[in-house]
Amino acid sequence: MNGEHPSHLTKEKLQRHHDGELSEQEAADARQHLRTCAPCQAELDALERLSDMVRWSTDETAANSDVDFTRMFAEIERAVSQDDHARSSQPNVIPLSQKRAASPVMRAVPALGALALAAAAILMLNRSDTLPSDGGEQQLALLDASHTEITAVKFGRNAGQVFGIPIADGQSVPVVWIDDEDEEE
Amino acid sequence: MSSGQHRGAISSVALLLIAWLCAIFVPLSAARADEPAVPAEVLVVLASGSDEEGAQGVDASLSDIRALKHPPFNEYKTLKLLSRQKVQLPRDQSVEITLPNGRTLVLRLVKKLPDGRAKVQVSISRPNRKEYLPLLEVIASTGEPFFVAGQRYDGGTLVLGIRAGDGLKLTAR
Repeated sequence: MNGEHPSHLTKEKLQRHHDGELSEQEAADARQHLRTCAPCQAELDALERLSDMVRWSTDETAANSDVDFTRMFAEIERAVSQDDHARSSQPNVIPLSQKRAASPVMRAVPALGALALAAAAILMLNRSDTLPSDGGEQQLALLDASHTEITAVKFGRNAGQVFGIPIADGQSVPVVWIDDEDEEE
Repeated sequence: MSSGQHRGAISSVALLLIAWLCAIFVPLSAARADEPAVPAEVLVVLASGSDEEGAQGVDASLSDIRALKHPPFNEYKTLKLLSRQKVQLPRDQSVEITLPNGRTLVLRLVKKLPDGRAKVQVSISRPNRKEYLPLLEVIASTGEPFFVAGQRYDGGTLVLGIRAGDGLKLTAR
């Protein structure tokens, strides 16, 4: 009820507002809130109806000592049910049970979508590895399958160079020469 | 649609997706697991300028490697084979070889090419220090090895000859 939403007026404050026990500032704030908050206004209306019934019952008691408690309780129940109906008709109020039912679905959909995207990406990467390579790599393979080539080198903090040693048949053997800066280990 | 039907539909979609993922990944992972390792060979040669007693020029076991008969390798007076190791390179798994200077040569097969060559990553790490050679990526053939040289060791220079590929015959020596 009111305690579930921090912006709503508490029951205690509504009751005090109804009883005229709030300070001027508090009452002004409460009125301002009630103008824009239908649930709190509905609760205040319920309080007022309940108050009317009690007043009516008291008057009846004064006039006739034979109190009709059955009627009084029926009126109270009716007022309470009207209060509940007024709250459930608010479009921005979702019962907690509905939220819980919706949450797993809402969480599952993006997770499944992400899984599917990841699977597709991995599938494409794997296929590019398992299929025969194309482009420059494939052309080199067709030209000379016995050719060894260096495609990347990082020397770190050492200096170094890459060169080829020409051997027979026009082939060249790659050499990575590191200028060893370390003391002998 | 009631919430029960909605949940049922979502469950069905989820099951279909899981089945689809299994259909993709199980054959791929099985294919990768079944992919045979690529043989590789690492020769560790000590090149030295000194003409020590007992040194006999180029080690006889290196005579079939043509590159060693050319500069700069033929400028050394001795080329001594310290070790010749034959290893299998499973895909995406690092294989380590300890070098005579205490450093570690790491080989990793990136992929096999259709022509039998192998794309291999090579690095040299030092114990408890930054990597000595962080990365060398080579498309290697089974013919002449490629070389990584320059490390100082025992008064000479280490020359590492590496070759890898499906055509390499790993016979015990």
